[in-house]
Amino acid sequence: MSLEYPGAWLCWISPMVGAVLTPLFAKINLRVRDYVAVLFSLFAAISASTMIPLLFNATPLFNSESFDWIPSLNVKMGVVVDPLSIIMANIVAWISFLIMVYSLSYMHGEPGLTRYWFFMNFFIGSMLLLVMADNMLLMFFGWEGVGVCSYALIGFWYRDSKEDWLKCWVGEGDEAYPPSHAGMKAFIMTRIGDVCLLASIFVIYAFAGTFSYSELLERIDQWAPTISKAGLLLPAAILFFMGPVGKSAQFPLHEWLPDAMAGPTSVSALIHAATMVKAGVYLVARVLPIFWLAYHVLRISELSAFFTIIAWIGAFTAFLAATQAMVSREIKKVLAYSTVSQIGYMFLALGAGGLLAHGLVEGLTSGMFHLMSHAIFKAALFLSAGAIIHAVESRFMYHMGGLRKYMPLTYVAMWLAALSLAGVPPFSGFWSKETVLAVSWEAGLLGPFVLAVVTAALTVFYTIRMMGLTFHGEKSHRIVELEAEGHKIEEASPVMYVPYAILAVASLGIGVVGWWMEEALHRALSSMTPYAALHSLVPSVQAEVETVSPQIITLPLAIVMLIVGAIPAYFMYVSRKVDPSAIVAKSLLLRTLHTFLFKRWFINKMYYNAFAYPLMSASRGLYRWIEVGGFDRALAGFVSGVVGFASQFRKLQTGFLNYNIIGILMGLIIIALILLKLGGLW
Amino acid sequence: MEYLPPQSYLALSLILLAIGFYCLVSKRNMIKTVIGLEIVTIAVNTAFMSLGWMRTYPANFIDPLAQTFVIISIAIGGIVAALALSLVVDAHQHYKTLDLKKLRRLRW
Amino acid sequence: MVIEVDLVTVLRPLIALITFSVVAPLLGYIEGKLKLKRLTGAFATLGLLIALLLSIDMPKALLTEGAVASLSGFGPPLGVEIRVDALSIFMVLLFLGLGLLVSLYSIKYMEHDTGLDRYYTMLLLLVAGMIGVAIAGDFFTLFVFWELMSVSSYSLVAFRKYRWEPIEAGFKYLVMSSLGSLMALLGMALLYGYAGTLNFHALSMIFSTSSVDPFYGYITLTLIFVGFGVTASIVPFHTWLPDAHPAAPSPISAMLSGLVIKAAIYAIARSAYTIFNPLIFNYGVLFTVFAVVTTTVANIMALLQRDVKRLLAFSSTVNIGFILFGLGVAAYGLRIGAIAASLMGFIGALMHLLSHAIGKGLLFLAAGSFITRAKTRNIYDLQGIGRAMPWTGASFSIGLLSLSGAPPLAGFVSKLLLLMSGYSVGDAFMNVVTSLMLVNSVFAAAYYLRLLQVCVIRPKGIRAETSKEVSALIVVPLVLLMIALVAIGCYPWPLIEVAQKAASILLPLP
Repeated sequence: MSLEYPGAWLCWISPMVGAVLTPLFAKINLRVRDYVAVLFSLFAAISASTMIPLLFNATPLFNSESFDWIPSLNVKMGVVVDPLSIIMANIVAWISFLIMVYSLSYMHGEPGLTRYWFFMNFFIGSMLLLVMADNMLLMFFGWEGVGVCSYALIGFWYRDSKEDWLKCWVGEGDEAYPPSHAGMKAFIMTRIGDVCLLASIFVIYAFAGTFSYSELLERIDQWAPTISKAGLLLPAAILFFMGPVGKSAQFPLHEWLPDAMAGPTSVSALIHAATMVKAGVYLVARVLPIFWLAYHVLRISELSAFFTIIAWIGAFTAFLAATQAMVSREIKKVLAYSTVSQIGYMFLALGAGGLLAHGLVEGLTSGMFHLMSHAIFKAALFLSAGAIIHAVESRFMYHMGGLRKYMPLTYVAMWLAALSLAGVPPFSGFWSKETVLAVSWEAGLLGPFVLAVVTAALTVFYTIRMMGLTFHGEKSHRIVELEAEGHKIEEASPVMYVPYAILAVASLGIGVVGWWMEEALHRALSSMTPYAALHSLVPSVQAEVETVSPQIITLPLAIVMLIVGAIPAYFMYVSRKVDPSAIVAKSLLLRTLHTFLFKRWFINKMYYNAFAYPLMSASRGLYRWIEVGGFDRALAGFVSGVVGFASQFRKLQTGFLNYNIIGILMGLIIIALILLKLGGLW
Repeated sequence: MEYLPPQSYLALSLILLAIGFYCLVSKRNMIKTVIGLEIVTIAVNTAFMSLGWMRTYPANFIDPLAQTFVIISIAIGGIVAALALSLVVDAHQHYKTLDLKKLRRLRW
Repeated sequence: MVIEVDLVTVLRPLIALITFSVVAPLLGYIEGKLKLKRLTGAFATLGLLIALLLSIDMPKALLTEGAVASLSGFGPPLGVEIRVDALSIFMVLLFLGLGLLVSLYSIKYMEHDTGLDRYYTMLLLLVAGMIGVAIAGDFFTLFVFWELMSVSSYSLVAFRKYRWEPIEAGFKYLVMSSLGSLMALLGMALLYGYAGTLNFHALSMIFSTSSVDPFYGYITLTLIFVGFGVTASIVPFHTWLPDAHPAAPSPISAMLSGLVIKAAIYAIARSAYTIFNPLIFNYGVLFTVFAVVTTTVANIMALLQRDVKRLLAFSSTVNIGFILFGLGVAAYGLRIGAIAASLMGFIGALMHLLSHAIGKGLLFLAAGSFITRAKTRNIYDLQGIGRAMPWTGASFSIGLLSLSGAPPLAGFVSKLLLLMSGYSVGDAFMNVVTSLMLVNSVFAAAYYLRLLQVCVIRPKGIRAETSKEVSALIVVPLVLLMIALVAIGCYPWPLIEVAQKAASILLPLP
């Protein structure tokens, strides 16, 4: 058996093997364990890279390679090799590798590292499986695998120690959560989406008879009309979207991600910024052509609602999270809100692309472009934030300040990434955000477009606020105290700063060639065979003439928003000419607004009050009254009864031979009597 | 030569069986237990012979199978008795008694 | 369909075993002279291996066709007859297979004992006796081999006669089991007096006619059931077993609990089903009722045991109850016309016989190696010893899980078959009885899992700290038995097929 695309298989199998071997290597030597784990992720990255040349082939590319898995159900186990999966796999694999290297130093000396390396490698394997899988069932295995790893790694410091409150908890006041709680929360919230996703997969399977993406696409004219007639297409599509909503932390299932920051920072960077939370975006991008085809070619009109929902949820989440990021006091939480917000942009792009008759490739391109640039700069931001937290041993920004003198390299790298996040030209974030705005303008989604534009300003504001609070201004009390205690605050080790320096420079590099990059992505994605063929199916595409380039509107708008957001932020947080707290304190409206934002729009609180607390008190009641009061007591009674009975019963075993012989004779007589009775003779 | 009819031997064997059982149930001396076992053996063998003879009676002839069986059974009875007595000897060495009531350290 | 086969072909394993047993004392003498340890043991193992190879060689047609091979000296109905069918082959291979592993285990385990020539002679004769029981075609042959088996096992129980425990246990075992044999003999005498023959086939012909005197038949059945029931340790005839099985050296415990009581239950099944047609004689109820009594009483006794071997011995009685239950379902089902349930019950009984033989053999052997290291039989002193002895601990755990009926192990398959057969009969009596068996099986699982928890899962106790794994020669049989349990549990179909052949021969299916 020869494999046409060995890289596509190896890239997800090798980290899984690495994960399984980790406990074994841990027996040999702890350092060997660490390095071998990193090596496996490097191997995965190299495997993924072997597929890059395929992108530049002239021939259209959409291949899958599969083996029978459950033949009777038409379930195959296979990989899909197309520009989408290749680009995604490379982003995931290389960022994973850099973060694994970073972990070597960041996690050094922690207890339970075997567990850490196991789950990290298992995560990389599952994520790449999710990306490479050519059918929805196999994808779901990866989907759940990353969920488990996310849970396990958020709760890595499962001891929830109060002493390390400053480092490993998340939130403050009545919304402070320990790591294990945060892990549980993430798991349960994403599970809501997962269940919906699974249900939708099976509904589609029931009608289409296949899980495979390519077969779904080929046979769309058979199954889509049937399922639509049954009235299940829109519900199935929306249920399907709930999976990505949960995994990518979109409204209304977005509340877990900010709290997931309780995990180690390397985990936050890998799972909750660069890769896993993008899985939802990737999955929507993966099925977008299918629904797009059903909408534009088969004219199943109800799907416009589906695309509109995606776009609205994306835009609204982008705005919602950005507002919360403006007031957060923890550096990682700012980044987490910003992640939620940026993923919202990606969904907006995909939804808008789906609505446009000629916009499938545009939507995919802008969604994927933003995904890529965000993965890079957000990973860089998280890793530098990790270095800072390491230095000041606190996650609160008011414990930082003035760090630029202590950590100049981190300062530069983080600024590069931050400018990209803020969307400053010519950083990569600028170009990708620009394409998102352009697509949504073209799709005529005015509401989401406005939200997106406003969010752009908010993004600039909170980015500069974060940078200002962290690096500029005076030293905080904590730093003074730490120095007084003899604790030196210094630059992170090279093993740590090299990865994020690379990522920051990459963010700038992609930005410099941003225009060309977008073209390349566009070309690669439109070369996917079915997509290219699909476009020719839509009659209006040829007729439609691009009237006005949307860039004429969006480019100036983006620049204006940049300035609108940047100026107040600069004065408040970098030059510190204006005291923001004084402004807020003066106005009742602003105070209320601040509380509202700081309390996360009260959505988190509401979820707890509506779902978590009632359930917990109900189960506590069940435990006290039914479990302890009922079952346990009954069981204890039963056990002592049985024990008492058995110990009385044991007296029968007299050990006295004569009695035993009497037993035999009695038995003989009883048996004879029973038999005669049964035979009707007595 | 006149023989009693086989029924009388059967009756004898039943009496022996009763004696053997009585002995096994009531006697606490190990040697008496072995004797009881032997009495039961004899009773069963006698029963076998007499039941075999009842098939051919009134001829003075018994099927050789029954005879073979009983002879082998007697031999086996001998082996078992020997083994039992050797155990009695060992038991006496360990317990310094032949009383079955003392020989009940294995309980529950 | 009866195939006449050459006498020697069938008797070869038996001849080999008896030859080896006769030569074994000579080897023991040489061993003593040459100071060669383990020579007799290796010799006996070789003998069993040869016998096993010879019996595998038995005509394959017997298994595939489900045929009967029979041969006779004087010719039936008077003569001695050897009869081999699928059931016999099933039993013979089981006896030889487990016997071989026990002998292999004994080589190392028993090497510090004196009188090993006697030990191996008796072991070989024990296996020979059981094989003879399995291939006997008439009561005469059966009785002779039965006594061979019994006498060897009495002397093996009392093998370590320098201690008080084997003596007391051996004496009780001897008296009770001999008395049982005599009851069976009396039953045979009655059969002979009524039918004039002891041949199974001829007897079945005579007792199938409707003119048969039922009173006579029932009395005979009672005697035979009680007679073999003593050795099979059916309650209330079980009192010797918890003494005798633990008192013997561990490999012998494995033989007794694994095989000897199985030979007894085989004798019950063979004589009951061939001679007393369940359609004429109503004994299914008796079997099931005694099955429930046996499992319940033995379960209660086992529940609080602290002596690991004694607990395992009581559990043997429990499992005899399960096998008896399968036999009862088979008879009961036939009588009321539930043929499928009847067949399933018999297959279940055979499968349980097999799975318990392997499982209990494994457990006694594993317990033996624990005891050699920890020098105690108290469960709580053995705490956590499975951790100190990983191979033994693993096989011990698998054995316990199999007996408690955890999938995918052999015990699960057989218990499932048994309970399913009981429920598929479908009348109220059977449903009640099967539910009682189900409760009992849960009960039994409770103390198996307690044993597992104490011996393997808990952290190492004081004695476990100083214990280390036993040598490879002891571990190999354990691991082989463990593999067998898993293999049967995962893929029981060939064996179920053989059991089905056996059932279709033995049961008078319409």
